[in-house]
Amino acid sequence: MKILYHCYGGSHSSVTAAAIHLGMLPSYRVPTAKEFMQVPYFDVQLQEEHGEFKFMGQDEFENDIYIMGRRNLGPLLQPLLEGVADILAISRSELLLVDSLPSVNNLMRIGGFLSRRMGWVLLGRPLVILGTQAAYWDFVNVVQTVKHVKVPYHGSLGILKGATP
Amino acid sequence: MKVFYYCCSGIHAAAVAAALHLGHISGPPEEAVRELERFKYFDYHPPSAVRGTPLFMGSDTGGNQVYTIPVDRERFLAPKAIRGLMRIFKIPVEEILLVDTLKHTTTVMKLGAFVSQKIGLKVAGRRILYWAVEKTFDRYTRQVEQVKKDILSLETQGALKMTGSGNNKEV
Repeated sequence: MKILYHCYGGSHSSVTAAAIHLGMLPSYRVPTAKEFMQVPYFDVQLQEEHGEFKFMGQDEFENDIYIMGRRNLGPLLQPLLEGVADILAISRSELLLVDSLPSVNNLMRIGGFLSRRMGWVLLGRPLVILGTQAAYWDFVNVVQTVKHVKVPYHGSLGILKGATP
Repeated sequence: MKVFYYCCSGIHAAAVAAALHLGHISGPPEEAVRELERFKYFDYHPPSAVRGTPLFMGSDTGGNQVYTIPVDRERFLAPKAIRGLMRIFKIPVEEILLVDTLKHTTTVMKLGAFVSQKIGLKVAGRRILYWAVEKTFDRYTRQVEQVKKDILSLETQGALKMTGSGNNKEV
């Protein structure tokens, strides 16, 4: 199965969720700033890369984990990709789209905007890391739901939309 | 082959191009607009459950399936995401054709769409939309003609590949 975590810029919330999923970040404690910066794609994705499927790794069940920045496509992305997948005869049980944006807090938004949009990395990065640490358990919850609830029953349960702790 | 015409809403510029492609509208702009009034997917309000999904418009004479899709303001990002999906599932990108009709969307058309879809004044909104389509109809005609040529060319290349004499250039 291919699992896509998507958010606005594909730099913070989707990367964090995918990293938790793959065990790159712990699910029993909040990581340090250094640990976040060791995650591939964390706070580095550029605007021109948005819309691309970025491969993060393969989990223990051999599911391929991807991230994507989907910008203003927002709520249209899931029906669009699911619809195209249906037309191209891709089985629904082979694709799971997970919106990680609902877990994002204002600190992450401001930090992400300053770092990615404005290019003020020195100012934005510490803020976005603080915000990600504050919302960390929401991301853990999203991933736990995906791994333990959604993936085994994906074929019959449909699509997860954000964190609902 | 599957042809996807896309615009902001998937029900205005994309629907005009799809209708033209399928032969639901034709001829001089004034006549085409009259035919467009009978085309049910133009300024169609899809049920919320299917909003955002590709709308199947029909199959053309060559058996190609024609769809419209909404991409909001993401005219570059949405096609990239679709091609990305195909790549990760190892589906040849030549199986689909993504056609940008957003370039035909004029300010008047946006106004008509807003009046019809957001304010809910269907009659007034559609009058504005029909007028906007009539003024830009030549652009749609040229684009759809080009799309049909591209389909033929892709099919020829595909046939050549099947016989082993085609080049492997990605389109």
